[in-house]
Formats: sequence, structure tokens, C-alpha cells
Amino acid sequence: MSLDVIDLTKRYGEKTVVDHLSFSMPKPGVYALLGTNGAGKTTTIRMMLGILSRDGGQVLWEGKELNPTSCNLGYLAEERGLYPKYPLMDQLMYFAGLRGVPKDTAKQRIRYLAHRLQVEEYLYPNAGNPPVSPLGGKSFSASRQKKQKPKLADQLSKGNQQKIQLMTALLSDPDLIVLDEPLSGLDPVNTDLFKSLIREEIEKGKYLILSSHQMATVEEFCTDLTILDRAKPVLQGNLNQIKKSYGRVNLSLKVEQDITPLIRSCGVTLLSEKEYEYRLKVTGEEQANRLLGELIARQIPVITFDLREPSLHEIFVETVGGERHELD
Amino acid sequence: MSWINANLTGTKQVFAFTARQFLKNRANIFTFALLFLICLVSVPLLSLMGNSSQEMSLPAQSSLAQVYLEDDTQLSLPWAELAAQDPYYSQTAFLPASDLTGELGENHVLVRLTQSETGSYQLELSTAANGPEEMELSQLESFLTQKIQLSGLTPEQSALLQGGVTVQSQSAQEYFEPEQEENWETSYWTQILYSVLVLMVSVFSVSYIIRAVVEEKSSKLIETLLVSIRPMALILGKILAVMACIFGAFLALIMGIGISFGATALLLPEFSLDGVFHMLSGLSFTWDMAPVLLVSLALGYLTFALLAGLSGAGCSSTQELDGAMSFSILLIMAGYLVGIFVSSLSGGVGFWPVFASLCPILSVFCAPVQYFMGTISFWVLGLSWLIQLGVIVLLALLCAKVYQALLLYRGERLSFGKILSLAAGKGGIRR
Repeated sequence: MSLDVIDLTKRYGEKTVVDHLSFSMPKPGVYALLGTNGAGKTTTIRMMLGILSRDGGQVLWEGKELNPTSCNLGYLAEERGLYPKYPLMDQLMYFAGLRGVPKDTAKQRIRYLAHRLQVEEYLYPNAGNPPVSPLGGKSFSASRQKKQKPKLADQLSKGNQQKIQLMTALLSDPDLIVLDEPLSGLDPVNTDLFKSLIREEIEKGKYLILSSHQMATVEEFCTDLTILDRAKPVLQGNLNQIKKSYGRVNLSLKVEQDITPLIRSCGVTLLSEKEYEYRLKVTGEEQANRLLGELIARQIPVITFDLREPSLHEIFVETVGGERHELD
Repeated sequence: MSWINANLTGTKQVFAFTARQFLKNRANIFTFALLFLICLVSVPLLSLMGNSSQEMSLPAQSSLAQVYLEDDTQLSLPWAELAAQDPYYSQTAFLPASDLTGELGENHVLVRLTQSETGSYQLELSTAANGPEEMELSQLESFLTQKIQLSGLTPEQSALLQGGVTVQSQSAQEYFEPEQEENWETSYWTQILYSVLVLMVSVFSVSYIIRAVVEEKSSKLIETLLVSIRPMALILGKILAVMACIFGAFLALIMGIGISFGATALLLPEFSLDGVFHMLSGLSFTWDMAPVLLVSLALGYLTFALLAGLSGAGCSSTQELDGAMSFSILLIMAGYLVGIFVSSLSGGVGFWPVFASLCPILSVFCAPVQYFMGTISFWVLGLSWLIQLGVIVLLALLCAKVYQALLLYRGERLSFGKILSLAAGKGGIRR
């Protein structure tokens, strides 16, 4: 299986909102679509999935035009929603039916995902084990327990609604999963739940397209990426290679005294400083080694000396910010 | 075939889901239960009211001056003697039909008693256009039936007799030339009843369909749905589900009336069902009308449902529901009123009934009624259905196109003109 996006273009009148975007996923993994607000990420996803019409380009899955019948796909949209007044289980079964999942399989899949995302109490309100009396039989209170009504979507918190929405995307055990800002608005506990489920899908060899502003999360999962800025791809490729191309230029340095004059004398750029903990930008390993040599020569104790490649966050800010700066 | 696969796959799932949610809706259940209850009590209430009004207003003597009898059976009952023995008809002359010369007077009735091949007896009462009141005819019918029963009929024959009485208003000339019959009462009632039925079905379903379309857009579900299903399947599934539910409900209500009728006849024999029989016989409903009514109703429903879907597609939030509903309901009301106007204005002849039967929207209300009235032939009715079907297909395609184009639209409700120009590919909508 492979995914190829070729020359994707979208215009609204005179304004081009996605400009000849191409990328491909020849093997399973996570492809990240990054960009500032309004850069064209969501429009790209909508065009890929056939929700929006295109003004040019192709999206191929296994060499054929991508559509719901040619590819088992799951989609978590940026604009998420559920029927507010319908029972959750009915909605999940409906979405499974639309994806062509047999009823029994859908039921098993819903139970599994509900367990993974810890929403069983909302989907199976009467499934809890009845209290057992010390003598072994059902207690009197258990037999009088009132049957709970099925939960409706508007009775759930935003985070729990988001979990149900992720379930709808994964119900058909899709080969291609498109997640548009999957972690926005989640608390740290739920973020971890989502991440573990995403990790599981990656391990199963699925194709994931991820759009997010949370660079740390993207960096954690993605292998390849495109950074969009004002409709155009400004940086594309394998994340590791991109990082290598930037070189090891980020230096974290922690000492026990003020070394600002020394840093300046070595020609190193000081990014920030907090209690003798410095974030520095060097031109390369040679300049970093020279600074380290100076510190040793002056017998200044070094607590931390960490020379590393730039983070995705830094690459993103530099790429998009740099473009902005040049244009300005 | 591939077009059908691409655009209609998933219609079944949408149908099942929409129907299930429609039937689970408490407001729908309550409305249906209330209507079913009204249907159940309708016949006993009508009978009760009929009986009491008959008892209250029945005079001591009949206002009929002459009753002409044409007895084509082997009974040969002495009607004049029997009437003389009844104080109510002591001043009424019961004469053989051969004594009738010229037209029937306002206090005259012509009775024809016949016997079918199965042995059952039938009474046919004819009067002048300005003839006696319905109550008087009903009383005469009861009198004649009672006398025939007393003459030694089997209970089965009596039962057949009770169910087979028809009352017609016609001149003597019309009686002898039945091919020139013009049953305006029938057409009037058919027009009113059918139009009201279309009106009820359309108005009720239109509001539900618009709400369903707008709800999916405003709750931001539409993107998730359209990854699995095309707009055409989505909208058709909804419309067909609502149609099935509403038609099912109407069928159940008709069955409710049937149960009510049967139960009244069985459990409350003291209540006369004559009034109800008269009302039904006035409609002259025959079972061959049922398929024509059903097809016409289904086509009418689909036309208005698709227009509602189109109107709903132009909305982006539930706050705009009222505007979309008003437009659709106005369209239905206009069709209803023009339909009735054309029927009454034309007097059943000429260009207008044919035009109204073929013109989309109007034809929904006019075509079957004009067919029952005999103003248009079955071929014209068939052509009307074909035109309606064409309009439905066009509307469905238009609806799917607009639905797709506006599914991410956020803004004020679009006018119908803007929606149409959008469907024609003129102008774009910025999301």
C-alpha cells in the first residue's frame, strides 16, 4: 500500500489556499502536516478525503484515486461533533454501518476501544457487576437497582466526546487514519490515552496523517513531514534528515557562575539565560568545542553541556518565522 | 451501476438510523398516540352525535309527500299498506315508479330495490338536487330496511342490505341516463380530503427533514459522515426514512379508524352507524383509487421533502431553521390553495385542470383529484407522474450538489436564488 498526493491545489476566487502540494507515503508510518493557522492543512486533508472539491491534483491510494470504497479510512475531523440528542451506542453502530463493518465486529471493536479510552461507563451504563451479598446471592438493593438510560452525547464532557469521536474514526480498523488536531483540548491524562492508542495503530503498520500544533507530539510520532506556510510547502522530507541538515547547533550549558562575557568573546549567540543555565546557538561543533575548551582552561565547573540538533519546534519557528521575516 | 454504487451506498444505513431515531423521539410517539386515540374514539363519537341529533330533531311526521318505488325483486311487499300502518309515514304516498312523470319534486324520493346474483338486496334512493334532507332519507332507508328484514330475510342478507345502501341526488332524466352523471360532491370531498392529507404529510415531514439536515451541519458531524457516504445517499436515506415513518403512521391511523368502526358495530349495537355510512358513501371511495392515491402522495411527498432538503442545505445553524421552514411551508400552502382554486374555478373542464395536473408543485394537489373527477385521462395522470418523477430526480441531484458545496459553509442563510446559482456553478462560497 502507498499514498501519493500529487500537485494538490485549491483556489477560492483569486486566492490560492493550497498551492501545488505533493508528498507521498510509500510505507506505513506517520506523516505530519504542519503549518501556521490558515496555512492550508485542514483544506489539504478535506481535499484528500473528497470532502472538498479540488482545483487540481490527485490523491492516489495503491495507485488508484482515493475514495471511501477504495480505501478503509478513518478520519477525526478538526471540527468535531456528535448527534447531541441520540444515544452514543446508536451513533457508533451507525458510523460502523456506514463504514461497512458487520454488526458483531462493530460491537467487539466498540467494546475494545471503549475499554482503551476508558468510556465504558457511558456506553454500557448497566454493565457494572451488581453488588453481591456476603451470602453469595444478589443483594436486595441490587435487585431493586434502576436501569440506567443510555447516555446522550450532550451529557458528556468535551474530552469524553472527543474520545467517542476518536472511536468513530477507528471503528473500521482503518488502513489510512487521518487525525486533524487530535489532542487539542485534552488534559494530560487523556492526552496519554490518545497517544497510546495512536502508538498502537503505528505498531499495527497503519498509515497515519497527523495535523497538529503540538510539535512535541508530532516529533514523538512522525517520520516525515511537510511544513506549509501561506498555502505553499516550505519544508518537506524525513524528520531525521531535516534535523541532520540543520546540524548540532543547539547548546544547553549549565555552570555555577556568570559566563556571559566568555560566551560573547567566543562569538556564540545567546538565546536565553536563567540562573546560569544558558541556551546557546553555535555555528557547529567546532565553535562549541572551543567554548568548552575555554571553560576548562578557566577552571569553571560545567554541570551540563548538551550539544544537539534543533527540535521540530525550533525548525518550525525558524522556517515559518524566517519566511515571514524575509517577506516583511 | 457504478454511479449508483458511488452515490447511493449507505442509503440503507441512513434510512435505518433515521427511522430508529424518529420512532424513538418522545414528541413523535406522543403525537402519534394522541392521533391514534382520536381515531379510536372517532366512530363512536360520530355515531353518538348522529343518534342524538336524529332523536332531537325528528318530527312527528315525515315531510316526504311521495315515495316512488321500483321493486325489481321477488319480494312484492305491500309498501302502501305498510307505510299506512306507520304513523310517521301516514301522510306520505308510496307509489309505483311507473306513476312518476317528469322530474322528481323537492319532497319526492325514487327508491329502487334490486337483488344481486348473490342474493343480497340493495336500496338506491334518488332525489332531486333540492330534494329532502339527509336525515329524512336516512329515516326512510331505516324504515325500508326494517320492513324488508321483517319479510323473512336471512341475517346475512340483512347485513348485506345494511352495507349496500347508496344515496344519490339526481334528476329523473339523469336516473334514466346514468352515463351523464356528475358527482360533484364526491370530487369536492376527494379534493379537500386528499389536499389536506398531502398538506399534513408534507408540513410535518418538511420540518423534520430541515431539522435533520441543519442539525448535522450545526453539530459539525457532516465532515465525519461524508468520509463514508455521499450527500445523495445521506439526503435520500433521511427522506425515505421519514416517508416510511409518516406513511406507516397514517396507515396505523386508518387501521385505528377501522378498529373503531368494527368495535362500535360489535360492542355498541344501539348506536346507529348510518351517519358514518352516509359520509363514506358520499366519498364513493373504491379500492382501485388506493394505488393512484398512494403513488400521487409518495411523489408529492418526495417533491416537498427534497425542496426542504435544499432549503435546509442553505442554513448553517439551528437559529436559521424558522426561515427555511417558512419558505417550504409557504410553497406547500401555495400549491394547496392554487390546487383548490383551480378545481373550483374551472368547474372541472377546460385548459386549467390539465395545466394544473401537469405543472410541478400544483400537480401534487391536482392530478389525482382531476383524474377521479374524470377531467383528465389516465394518460394525462401518467404524464403528470412522469413529470413529477423527473422533477424529483433533478431536485435530488441539485440537492446533493448544493449539500456538498455548502457543507462547510458558515454564514447567513442563503436565499433560494443564491442556492440555485451556486448549483449552476455561478459564484463560489468561501468557507
